[in-house]
Amino acid sequence: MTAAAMSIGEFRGYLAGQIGRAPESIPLDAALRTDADLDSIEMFLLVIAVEDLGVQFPEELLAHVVTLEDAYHHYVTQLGHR
Amino acid sequence: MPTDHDYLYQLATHPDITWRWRYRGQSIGYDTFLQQLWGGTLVHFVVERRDGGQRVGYVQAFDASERHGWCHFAVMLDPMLERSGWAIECLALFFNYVFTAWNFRKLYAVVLENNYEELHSGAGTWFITEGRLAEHEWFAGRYWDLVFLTVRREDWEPSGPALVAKLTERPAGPVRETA
Repeated sequence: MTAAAMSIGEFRGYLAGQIGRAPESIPLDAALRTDADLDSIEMFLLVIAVEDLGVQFPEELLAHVVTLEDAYHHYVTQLGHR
Repeated sequence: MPTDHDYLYQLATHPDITWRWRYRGQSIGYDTFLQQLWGGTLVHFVVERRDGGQRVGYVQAFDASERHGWCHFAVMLDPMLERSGWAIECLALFFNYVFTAWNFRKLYAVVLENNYEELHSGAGTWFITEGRLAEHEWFAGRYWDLVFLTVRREDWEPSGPALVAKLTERPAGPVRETA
């Protein structure tokens, strides 16, 4: 991981802001589509927001990102590989 | 292309899609499907994955009125991709194409109330809700509203092209023209 990586709390706050939600409405371990009830537009904006942090979100990975923790894990892993 | 026809027929008649596509669960013959695939169509694309070209959906503009400056649009995506955001990505690319190629003011979509829930966060930013027919269609034991959504050029142009530029900076293009 690089020194520039966000904490998971910062990561959640950033993504929530990008999709127009309160951070508390997206619990870290909640399934984004079902438990947190993100709709298609919010899921799209979430992926774009993660990519704006400089990490790629491959299509085949999207199906495996269930929770915000999954997205954060991908984020820090990708940062560490840059 | 004709090689897409079987795929599109299977998609349009898939049990998870047929009730929200134009057939609303009705059986449809293959020949009739092909005729209707082109009926009223302005432009349509098969949606493909960037990594490998696997077909994952279909997007269409139809019933256009160039005189009045509007047309309708619709999208159907592989049910496995529901709420993945892929429908929005391909629609963003498609809106950009249609607004660039034609001088439309408005792009309309007509969706069932339960399908609207897939998109509701975009109300006021991605689209406006222009109308609603209360309890208009019967499905699964109850009547549902039919919701009329509008994507306006004036709302699209300030941010849409920049978003599309960002999307197309990623590897390869995800759509190609059908037929």
